[in-house]
Amino acid sequence: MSDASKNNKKWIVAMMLDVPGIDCNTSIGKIVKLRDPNTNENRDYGLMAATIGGNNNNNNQDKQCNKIVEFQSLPADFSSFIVGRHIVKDGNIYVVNRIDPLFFYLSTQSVDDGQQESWQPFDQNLENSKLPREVCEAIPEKQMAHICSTFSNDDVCYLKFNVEKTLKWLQKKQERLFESLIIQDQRNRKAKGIKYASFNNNKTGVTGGSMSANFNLPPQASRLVAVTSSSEDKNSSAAELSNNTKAIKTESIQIMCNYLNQDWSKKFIEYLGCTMEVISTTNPTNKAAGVSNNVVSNAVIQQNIDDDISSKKIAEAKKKTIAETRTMGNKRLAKVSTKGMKSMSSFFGAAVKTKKAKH
Amino acid sequence: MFEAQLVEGKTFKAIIEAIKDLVVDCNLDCSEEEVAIQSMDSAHVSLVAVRLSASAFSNYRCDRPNSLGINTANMSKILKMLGKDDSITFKAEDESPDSLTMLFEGGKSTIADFELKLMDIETEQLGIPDTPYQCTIQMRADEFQRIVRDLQVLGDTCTISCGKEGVRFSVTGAIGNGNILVRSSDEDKDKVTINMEEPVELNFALRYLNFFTKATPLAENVVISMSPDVPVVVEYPIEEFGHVKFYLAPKIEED
Repeated sequence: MSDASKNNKKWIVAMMLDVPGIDCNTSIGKIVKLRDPNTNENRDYGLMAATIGGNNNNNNQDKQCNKIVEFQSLPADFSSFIVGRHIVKDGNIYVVNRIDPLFFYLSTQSVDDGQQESWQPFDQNLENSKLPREVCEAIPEKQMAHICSTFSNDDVCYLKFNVEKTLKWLQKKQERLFESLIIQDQRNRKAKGIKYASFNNNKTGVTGGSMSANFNLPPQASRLVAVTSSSEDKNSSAAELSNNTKAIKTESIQIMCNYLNQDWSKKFIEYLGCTMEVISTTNPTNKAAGVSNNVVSNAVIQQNIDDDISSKKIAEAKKKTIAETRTMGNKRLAKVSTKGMKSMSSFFGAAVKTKKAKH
Repeated sequence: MFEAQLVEGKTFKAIIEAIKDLVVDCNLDCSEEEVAIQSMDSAHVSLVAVRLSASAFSNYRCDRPNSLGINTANMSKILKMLGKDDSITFKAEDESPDSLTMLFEGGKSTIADFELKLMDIETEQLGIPDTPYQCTIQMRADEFQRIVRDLQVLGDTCTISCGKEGVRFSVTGAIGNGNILVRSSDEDKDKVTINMEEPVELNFALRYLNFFTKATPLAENVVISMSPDVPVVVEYPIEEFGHVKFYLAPKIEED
């Protein structure tokens, strides 16, 4: 995937791995500024179009759903890259990492059990969260069930935010992340001659292949435990591995907290039975460095990744200074199939653009 | 300066309620003669045209033509506070106003004023020719609403065929099919007038028709006009002062 045309434009070259939910043939549609769920500051994110419930019947039943990706820079000792016929003078490699849009939703929700909202339909729930439209469009209805209580009535699913479910969901995420980090760590250790065994012993330790820096587990990754290779250094290595596993677990919690605001981080850490020291033991910018070959920083590409798109967005924002509000009816109407229906402008006279001048 | 007082404020409220699900943002085009809205839905397959002539207002002043860009949902939120018998007075500056002031007056004791922030909206104004239609059906608005609502249970697409026997609304869906035939009638209570030059049969998205019927409180009767391969017009006349017209593109089966 690449973007270029102007002289001052920045290239992003992404080598897409098989990441669940992302079509490798999809390119980043546009760059948008969204509030970081952790810091609440504006950051550049990419929007990738993806299809949910993808099937081959062309009856418009597939839902187009955005995927939100963040950009992480990997400092590298290169001075330039060749991209197609262009030479890109940039020493960094950028990793495109998919973000679960529920993190954005969480940043709008209170951790206080007593402040839960009433039962609301999915659309209404998102509307009340005041999230940007790009984020709302990235949240599939069924995914909300991870963090909300649900009940159905008259084919309408009603949701209510549930702190307990949310914490369980965060814990599952943290456990998956922990497994991913273990697998990455395993590669490093294998090079040092320490053997691993998987839970199912017929599998070797290295099953993940090359790992990306975005912590996505490869398909059918084995659950791994570390064992020492020889009996004489069993005790020392076990202790070392135990410490290492503990460190990796800490790292996984820290990475999770990178996507949560302060209140949610605190609540999550308490839920896991840890103390706040967990997130203060490591420099946040180097959190991943200790467990991965790749030094992943959360540095964001603040530069003009795509000047055209950014300037266009700014112009649009100026044009419409009022938060756009949509009714439930608007959203329902957007789902109506208009197949076989021509545009109004094809029936009526030439369109004349009118614009209200505002100074 | 634009200043206009509508004694029956609920009429304007009903207009906004009728169009807010179809149109997100639109311009209130104010001129010496009228206040008009023309806007398409996001898919550009339907169009709303509203007209309220200056005579609909008890006081009307518009020094120069102006377009006031509003978000219909936000306007609806403000109009929720309108009392049943309140009048509305609209006020806006001539030179690119930033807000539209609305005064709600109920009786002699209560005056509420609200300011709605305005937007810059680029719209495509379509030139709609005043062409005759081959079929024109006038029927009770609430009856049309009932038919559309009932048929929605069966399917998404409604076939409206106007022939000698009357107007037939047909839907075929997964659970079955249904037909509702409406015949001409001279009875005052359920008067149905059908003017037909040639039989016409067109398919429409029922969901859109259902949204159109949200204008039912505005008028006792609805006028449906059809010609082959052109958009249907569903018109709700607002007394003699204006109208809300909905245009919807027919569904044409591709070969």
